[in-house]
Amino acid sequence: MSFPSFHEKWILKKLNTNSIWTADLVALLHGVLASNYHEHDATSCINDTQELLKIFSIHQVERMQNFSYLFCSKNLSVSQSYESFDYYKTSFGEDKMRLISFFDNQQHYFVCEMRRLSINSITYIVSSPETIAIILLDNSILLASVETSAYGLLEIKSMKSTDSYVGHYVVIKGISRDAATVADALGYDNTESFCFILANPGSKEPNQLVSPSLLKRSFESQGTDGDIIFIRKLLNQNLS
Amino acid sequence: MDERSFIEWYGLTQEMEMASCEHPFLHRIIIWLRSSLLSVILLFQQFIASSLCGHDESAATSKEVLIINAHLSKFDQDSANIDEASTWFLRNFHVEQKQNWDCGVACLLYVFQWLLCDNPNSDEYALLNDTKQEELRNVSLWKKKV
Repeated sequence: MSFPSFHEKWILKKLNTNSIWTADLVALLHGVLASNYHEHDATSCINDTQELLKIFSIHQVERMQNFSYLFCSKNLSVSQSYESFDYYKTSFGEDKMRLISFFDNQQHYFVCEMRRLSINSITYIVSSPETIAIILLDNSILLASVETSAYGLLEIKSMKSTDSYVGHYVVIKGISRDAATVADALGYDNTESFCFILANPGSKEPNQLVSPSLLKRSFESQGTDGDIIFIRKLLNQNLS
Repeated sequence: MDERSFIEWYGLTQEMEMASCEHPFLHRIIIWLRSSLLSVILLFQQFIASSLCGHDESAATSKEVLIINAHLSKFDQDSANIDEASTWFLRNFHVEQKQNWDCGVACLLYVFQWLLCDNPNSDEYALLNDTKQEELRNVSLWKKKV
Protein backbone atom coordinates (compact mmCIF):
# COMPACT_ATOMS: atom_id res chain seq x y z
CA MET A 1 0.00 0.00 0.00
CA SER A 2 1.32 3.43 -0.78
CA PHE A 3 0.23 6.48 1.16
CA PRO A 4 1.12 10.16 1.01
CA SER A 5 4.16 10.70 3.16
CA PHE A 6 2.68 13.69 5.04
CA HIS A 7 -0.07 11.50 6.44
CA GLU A 8 2.49 8.96 7.49
CA LYS A 9 4.68 11.58 9.18
CA TRP A 10 1.77 13.01 11.09
CA ILE A 11 0.73 9.64 12.43
CA LEU A 12 4.27 8.68 13.32
CA LYS A 13 4.66 11.95 15.17
CA LYS A 14 1.54 11.20 17.14
CA LEU A 15 2.42 7.60 17.76
CA ASN A 16 5.98 8.32 18.70
CA THR A 17 6.67 5.16 20.58
CA ASN A 18 8.67 2.01 20.10
CA SER A 19 5.78 -0.34 20.52
CA ILE A 20 2.21 0.40 19.58
CA TRP A 21 -0.68 -0.92 21.61
CA THR A 22 -4.32 -0.93 20.63
CA ALA A 23 -4.97 1.87 23.13
CA ASP A 24 -2.52 4.03 21.15
CA LEU A 25 -4.55 3.55 18.00
CA VAL A 26 -7.75 4.32 19.90
CA ALA A 27 -6.24 7.52 21.31
CA LEU A 28 -5.29 8.70 17.85
CA LEU A 29 -8.70 7.89 16.38
CA HIS A 30 -10.26 9.75 19.28
CA GLY A 31 -7.88 12.65 18.71
CA VAL A 32 -9.10 13.03 15.13
CA LEU A 33 -12.72 13.08 16.30
CA ALA A 34 -11.94 15.44 19.12
CA SER A 35 -10.13 18.12 17.12
CA ASN A 36 -12.63 20.89 16.87
CA TYR A 37 -11.58 23.25 14.10
CA HIS A 38 -14.66 25.44 14.54
CA GLU A 39 -13.70 26.50 18.04
CA HIS A 40 -10.32 28.13 17.78
CA ASP A 41 -10.82 29.82 21.12
CA ALA A 42 -10.75 26.44 22.82
CA THR A 43 -7.11 26.60 23.80
CA SER A 44 -6.99 23.00 24.94
CA CYS A 45 -7.35 21.70 21.43
CA ILE A 46 -5.92 24.47 19.30
CA ASN A 47 -2.51 22.88 18.80
CA ASP A 48 -3.89 19.57 17.68
CA THR A 49 -6.38 21.28 15.41
CA GLN A 50 -3.78 23.51 13.80
CA GLU A 51 -1.54 20.54 13.31
CA LEU A 52 -4.33 18.61 11.62
CA LEU A 53 -5.15 21.56 9.38
CA LYS A 54 -1.54 21.80 8.21
CA ILE A 55 -1.90 18.34 6.79
CA PHE A 56 -5.52 17.95 5.85
CA SER A 57 -7.90 20.53 4.41
CA ILE A 58 -10.89 21.58 6.54
CA HIS A 59 -13.06 19.64 4.15
CA GLN A 60 -10.96 16.53 4.65
CA VAL A 61 -10.98 16.91 8.43
CA GLU A 62 -14.76 17.27 8.37
CA ARG A 63 -15.12 14.09 6.42
CA MET A 64 -12.60 12.23 8.52
CA GLN A 65 -14.54 13.12 11.64
CA ASN A 66 -17.70 11.61 10.29
CA PHE A 67 -17.32 8.26 12.00
CA SER A 68 -17.96 6.41 15.22
CA TYR A 69 -15.68 3.87 16.81
CA LEU A 70 -15.76 1.28 19.56
CA PHE A 71 -12.76 -0.44 21.09
CA CYS A 72 -13.64 -3.91 22.43
CA SER A 73 -11.22 -5.98 24.47
CA LYS A 74 -11.18 -8.80 26.97
CA ASN A 75 -8.76 -6.89 29.10
CA LEU A 76 -8.98 -3.16 29.67
CA SER A 77 -5.82 -2.95 31.73
CA VAL A 78 -2.08 -3.44 31.26
CA SER A 79 -1.08 -7.07 31.62
CA GLN A 80 2.35 -7.52 33.17
CA SER A 81 2.68 -10.79 31.25
CA TYR A 82 3.59 -8.87 28.08
CA GLU A 83 6.78 -7.55 29.63
CA SER A 84 8.74 -10.55 28.42
CA PHE A 85 7.46 -10.40 24.84
CA ASP A 86 10.18 -9.33 22.40
CA TYR A 87 8.04 -6.68 20.75
CA TYR A 88 7.19 -4.92 24.01
CA LYS A 89 10.33 -5.67 25.99
CA THR A 90 12.44 -2.58 25.18
CA SER A 91 9.88 0.00 26.18
CA PHE A 92 7.47 -1.81 28.45
CA GLY A 93 8.10 0.44 31.45
CA GLU A 94 7.34 3.56 29.42
CA ASP A 95 4.38 1.95 27.67
CA LYS A 96 2.96 0.80 30.95
CA MET A 97 2.73 4.35 32.33
CA ARG A 98 1.07 5.61 29.18
CA LEU A 99 -1.42 2.74 29.07
CA ILE A 100 -2.29 2.95 32.75
CA SER A 101 -3.23 6.56 32.16
CA PHE A 102 -5.36 5.54 29.18
CA PHE A 103 -7.23 2.84 31.09
CA ASP A 104 -7.65 5.06 34.14
CA ASN A 105 -9.41 7.53 31.87
CA GLN A 106 -11.23 5.00 29.72
CA GLN A 107 -14.60 6.60 30.41
CA HIS A 108 -13.51 9.43 28.10
CA TYR A 109 -13.06 7.04 25.21
CA PHE A 110 -15.46 4.67 23.49
CA VAL A 111 -14.44 1.34 24.94
CA CYS A 112 -16.30 -1.79 25.93
CA GLU A 113 -15.03 -4.80 27.80
CA MET A 114 -16.04 -8.03 26.06
CA ARG A 115 -14.93 -11.23 27.75
CA ARG A 116 -15.64 -13.28 24.69
CA LEU A 117 -16.44 -11.68 21.39
CA SER A 118 -17.53 -14.31 18.88
CA ILE A 119 -16.51 -14.41 15.25
CA ASN A 120 -20.23 -14.55 14.38
CA SER A 121 -20.74 -11.16 15.99
CA ILE A 122 -17.69 -9.68 14.28
CA THR A 123 -18.95 -11.07 10.98
CA TYR A 124 -22.34 -9.51 11.49
CA ILE A 125 -20.91 -6.10 12.34
CA VAL A 126 -18.32 -5.89 9.55
CA SER A 127 -20.68 -7.21 6.91
CA SER A 128 -22.32 -3.82 7.00
CA PRO A 129 -20.73 -1.81 4.15
CA GLU A 130 -20.22 1.22 6.39
CA THR A 131 -18.29 -0.64 9.09
CA ILE A 132 -14.72 -1.89 9.13
CA ALA A 133 -12.51 -3.02 12.00
CA ILE A 134 -8.88 -2.93 13.05
CA ILE A 135 -8.22 -6.29 14.65
CA LEU A 136 -5.20 -7.67 16.50
CA LEU A 137 -4.26 -11.15 15.29
CA ASP A 138 -1.54 -13.63 16.07
CA ASN A 139 0.48 -13.48 12.89
CA SER A 140 2.30 -16.71 13.64
CA ILE A 141 -1.00 -18.51 13.10
CA LEU A 142 -1.84 -16.52 9.98
CA LEU A 143 1.65 -17.00 8.57
CA ALA A 144 1.56 -20.73 9.11
CA SER A 145 -1.31 -20.84 6.63
CA VAL A 146 0.26 -18.39 4.22
CA GLU A 147 3.47 -20.35 3.96
CA THR A 148 1.57 -23.41 2.87
CA SER A 149 -0.64 -21.55 0.40
CA ALA A 150 -0.11 -20.24 -3.09
CA TYR A 151 -0.14 -16.65 -1.84
CA GLY A 152 3.60 -16.35 -1.47
CA LEU A 153 5.45 -15.20 1.59
CA LEU A 154 4.42 -12.19 3.59
CA GLU A 155 6.84 -9.45 4.43
CA ILE A 156 6.96 -8.91 8.13
CA LYS A 157 9.02 -5.90 9.03
CA SER A 158 10.01 -5.08 12.56
CA MET A 159 7.83 -7.86 13.82
CA LYS A 160 10.33 -10.67 14.09
CA SER A 161 10.14 -12.39 17.38
CA THR A 162 11.34 -15.45 19.15
CA ASP A 163 7.95 -15.70 20.87
CA SER A 164 5.38 -17.97 19.38
CA TYR A 165 2.87 -15.13 19.56
CA VAL A 166 3.38 -12.34 17.00
CA GLY A 167 0.89 -9.51 17.40
CA HIS A 168 -0.19 -8.01 14.10
CA TYR A 169 -2.88 -5.46 13.22
CA VAL A 170 -4.96 -5.87 10.09
CA VAL A 171 -8.13 -4.19 8.83
CA ILE A 172 -11.23 -6.28 8.23
CA LYS A 173 -12.84 -4.57 5.25
CA GLY A 174 -15.85 -6.84 4.96
CA ILE A 175 -16.87 -10.30 3.93
CA SER A 176 -17.55 -12.09 0.68
CA ARG A 177 -19.96 -14.92 -0.04
CA ASP A 178 -18.90 -15.28 -3.64
CA ALA A 179 -18.09 -19.00 -4.03
CA ALA A 180 -14.93 -18.52 -6.08
CA THR A 181 -13.65 -15.86 -3.68
CA VAL A 182 -14.39 -18.01 -0.63
CA ALA A 183 -12.56 -20.96 -2.15
CA ASP A 184 -9.44 -18.79 -2.52
CA ALA A 185 -9.40 -17.84 1.15
CA LEU A 186 -6.53 -18.81 3.43
CA GLY A 187 -7.56 -21.67 5.66
CA TYR A 188 -10.58 -22.57 3.50
CA ASP A 189 -11.85 -26.01 4.49
CA ASN A 190 -14.73 -26.68 2.06
CA THR A 191 -17.38 -26.12 4.71
CA GLU A 192 -17.37 -22.35 5.02
CA SER A 193 -19.78 -20.20 3.10
CA PHE A 194 -18.03 -16.86 3.39
CA CYS A 195 -14.61 -15.39 3.99
CA PHE A 196 -13.19 -12.19 5.46
CA ILE A 197 -11.56 -9.59 3.24
CA LEU A 198 -8.55 -8.08 4.97
CA ALA A 199 -6.20 -5.20 4.30
CA ASN A 200 -3.04 -6.68 5.74
CA PRO A 201 -0.06 -4.30 5.94
CA GLY A 202 2.21 -7.33 5.94
CA SER A 203 0.83 -8.74 2.72
CA LYS A 204 1.60 -7.87 -0.87
CA GLU A 205 -2.00 -8.63 -1.73
CA PRO A 206 -4.33 -5.59 -1.49
CA ASN A 207 -7.13 -7.94 -0.51
CA GLN A 208 -6.21 -10.87 1.65
CA LEU A 209 -8.95 -13.46 1.90
CA VAL A 210 -9.11 -15.39 5.15
CA SER A 211 -11.51 -18.09 6.27
CA PRO A 212 -13.58 -17.52 9.43
CA SER A 213 -11.94 -20.48 11.18
CA LEU A 214 -8.43 -19.15 10.55
CA LEU A 215 -9.38 -15.65 11.65
CA LYS A 216 -10.95 -17.10 14.77
CA ARG A 217 -7.79 -19.01 15.69
CA SER A 218 -5.58 -15.96 15.03
CA PHE A 219 -7.90 -13.68 17.01
CA GLU A 220 -8.42 -15.98 19.97
CA SER A 221 -4.74 -16.70 20.41
CA GLN A 222 -3.39 -15.79 23.83
CA GLY A 223 -1.77 -12.38 23.52
CA THR A 224 -4.33 -10.55 21.41
CA ASP A 225 -6.60 -9.86 24.40
CA GLY A 226 -9.44 -9.98 21.89
CA ASP A 227 -8.59 -6.42 20.84
CA ILE A 228 -10.71 -5.02 18.03
CA ILE A 229 -11.72 -1.48 17.06
CA PHE A 230 -14.91 -1.15 15.05
CA ILE A 231 -15.12 1.96 12.89
CA ARG A 232 -18.39 3.01 11.30
CA LYS A 233 -18.95 5.76 8.77
CA LEU A 234 -21.82 7.99 9.79
CA LEU A 235 -23.65 8.28 6.52
CA ASN A 236 -26.68 10.20 7.73
CA GLN A 237 -24.93 13.48 8.34
CA ASN A 238 -24.87 16.04 5.58
CA LEU A 239 -21.58 17.83 5.57
CA SER A 240 -21.14 20.99 3.64
CA MET B 1 -37.68 -4.83 22.52
CA ASP B 2 -36.52 -3.90 19.02
CA GLU B 3 -33.02 -2.73 18.24
CA ARG B 4 -33.88 0.96 18.34
CA SER B 5 -35.54 0.65 21.74
CA PHE B 6 -32.60 -1.33 22.98
CA ILE B 7 -30.17 1.34 21.78
CA GLU B 8 -32.17 4.07 23.54
CA TRP B 9 -32.40 2.05 26.72
CA TYR B 10 -28.75 1.06 26.66
CA GLY B 11 -27.76 4.68 26.01
CA LEU B 12 -29.83 5.83 28.97
CA THR B 13 -28.17 3.32 31.28
CA GLN B 14 -24.78 4.41 29.97
CA GLU B 15 -25.58 8.02 30.83
CA MET B 16 -26.68 6.93 34.29
CA GLU B 17 -23.48 4.97 34.66
CA MET B 18 -21.38 7.98 33.67
CA ALA B 19 -23.33 10.25 36.01
CA SER B 20 -22.82 7.87 38.90
CA CYS B 21 -19.04 7.59 38.48
CA GLU B 22 -18.43 9.69 41.58
CA HIS B 23 -20.59 7.39 43.73
CA PRO B 24 -18.96 3.95 43.63
CA PHE B 25 -21.86 2.13 45.30
CA LEU B 26 -24.49 3.63 43.02
CA HIS B 27 -22.21 3.04 40.06
CA ARG B 28 -21.95 -0.67 40.94
CA ILE B 29 -25.71 -1.01 41.38
CA ILE B 30 -26.42 0.57 38.00
CA ILE B 31 -23.91 -1.69 36.25
CA TRP B 32 -25.39 -4.74 37.99
CA LEU B 33 -28.95 -3.71 37.14
CA ARG B 34 -28.10 -3.14 33.52
CA SER B 35 -26.28 -6.43 33.25
CA SER B 36 -29.17 -8.34 34.88
CA LEU B 37 -31.81 -6.65 32.77
CA LEU B 38 -29.76 -7.28 29.66
CA SER B 39 -29.55 -10.99 30.46
CA VAL B 40 -33.31 -11.20 31.01
CA ILE B 41 -34.07 -9.37 27.78
CA LEU B 42 -31.67 -11.56 25.81
CA LEU B 43 -33.04 -14.75 27.31
CA PHE B 44 -36.55 -13.62 26.43
CA GLN B 45 -35.50 -12.70 22.89
CA GLN B 46 -33.78 -16.03 22.43
CA PHE B 47 -36.86 -17.86 23.73
CA ILE B 48 -39.09 -16.01 21.26
CA ALA B 49 -36.61 -16.57 18.42
CA SER B 50 -36.34 -20.27 19.15
CA SER B 51 -40.12 -20.60 19.45
CA LEU B 52 -40.81 -18.77 16.21
CA CYS B 53 -37.83 -19.71 14.08
CA GLY B 54 -36.66 -22.95 15.57
CA HIS B 55 -33.16 -21.70 16.34
CA ASP B 56 -31.56 -19.41 18.91
CA GLU B 57 -28.28 -18.48 17.31
CA SER B 58 -29.39 -15.48 15.38
CA ALA B 59 -26.37 -13.21 15.26
CA ALA B 60 -28.67 -10.21 15.05
CA THR B 61 -30.01 -10.85 18.52
CA SER B 62 -26.74 -11.69 20.18
CA LYS B 63 -25.75 -9.63 23.14
CA GLU B 64 -22.48 -8.64 21.55
CA VAL B 65 -23.99 -7.37 18.34
CA LEU B 66 -26.65 -5.42 20.17
CA ILE B 67 -24.12 -3.80 22.47
CA ILE B 68 -21.67 -2.93 19.69
CA ASN B 69 -24.41 -1.56 17.47
CA ALA B 70 -25.81 0.38 20.39
CA HIS B 71 -22.45 2.05 20.95
CA LEU B 72 -21.79 2.72 17.29
CA SER B 73 -25.30 3.99 16.54
CA LYS B 74 -25.84 6.05 19.64
CA PHE B 75 -22.49 7.71 19.16
CA ASP B 76 -22.73 11.40 19.81
CA GLN B 77 -19.98 13.48 18.31
CA ASP B 78 -20.54 16.23 20.87
CA SER B 79 -19.34 13.84 23.53
CA ALA B 80 -16.14 13.35 21.56
CA ASN B 81 -15.00 16.92 22.10
CA ILE B 82 -11.46 17.26 23.26
CA ASP B 83 -11.05 16.23 26.85
CA GLU B 84 -8.22 16.21 29.31
CA ALA B 85 -7.49 12.53 28.86
CA SER B 86 -6.94 12.56 25.14
CA THR B 87 -5.11 15.88 25.27
CA TRP B 88 -2.71 14.52 27.81
CA PHE B 89 -2.31 11.35 25.83
CA LEU B 90 -1.58 13.01 22.51
CA ARG B 91 0.75 15.62 23.98
CA ASN B 92 2.84 12.91 25.54
CA PHE B 93 3.52 11.33 22.19
CA HIS B 94 5.61 14.33 21.23
CA VAL B 95 8.68 13.28 23.20
CA GLU B 96 11.63 12.33 21.06
CA GLN B 97 11.94 8.59 20.83
CA LYS B 98 12.91 6.12 18.21
CA GLN B 99 10.32 6.09 15.48
CA ASN B 100 9.15 2.80 14.22
CA TRP B 101 6.89 1.92 11.32
CA ASP B 102 4.22 -0.40 12.52
CA CYS B 103 1.32 -2.41 11.17
CA GLY B 104 -1.02 -0.48 13.49
CA VAL B 105 -0.03 2.78 11.83
CA ALA B 106 -0.64 1.25 8.41
CA CYS B 107 -4.11 0.19 9.54
CA LEU B 108 -4.88 3.71 10.79
CA LEU B 109 -3.78 5.14 7.47
CA TYR B 110 -6.07 2.70 5.73
CA VAL B 111 -8.97 3.79 7.96
CA PHE B 112 -8.36 7.48 7.21
CA GLN B 113 -8.20 6.78 3.50
CA TRP B 114 -11.40 4.77 3.75
CA LEU B 115 -13.15 7.58 5.61
CA LEU B 116 -12.15 10.03 2.90
CA CYS B 117 -13.08 7.79 0.02
CA ASP B 118 -16.82 7.77 -0.21
CA ASN B 119 -16.91 9.60 -3.48
CA PRO B 120 -15.04 8.17 -6.47
CA ASN B 121 -14.93 11.65 -8.04
CA SER B 122 -13.16 13.23 -5.12
CA ASP B 123 -9.51 14.23 -5.11
CA GLU B 124 -8.88 11.92 -2.18
CA TYR B 125 -10.07 8.96 -4.19
CA ALA B 126 -7.16 9.48 -6.55
CA LEU B 127 -4.75 8.97 -3.67
CA LEU B 128 -5.67 5.32 -3.55
CA ASN B 129 -3.91 2.84 -5.71
CA ASP B 130 -5.63 1.26 -8.68
CA THR B 131 -6.40 -1.98 -6.96
CA LYS B 132 -8.22 -0.23 -4.15
CA GLN B 133 -10.24 1.83 -6.63
CA GLU B 134 -11.19 -1.32 -8.48
CA GLU B 135 -12.17 -2.91 -5.21
CA LEU B 136 -14.42 0.00 -4.26
CA ARG B 137 -16.13 -0.31 -7.64
CA ASN B 138 -16.75 -3.95 -6.95
CA VAL B 139 -19.78 -3.41 -4.81
CA SER B 140 -20.52 -7.10 -4.60
CA LEU B 141 -17.46 -7.57 -2.44
CA TRP B 142 -18.47 -4.82 -0.03
CA LYS B 143 -22.19 -5.18 0.26
CA LYS B 144 -22.59 -8.86 0.84
CA LYS B 145 -24.76 -9.43 3.85
CA VAL B 146 -24.41 -12.32 6.23
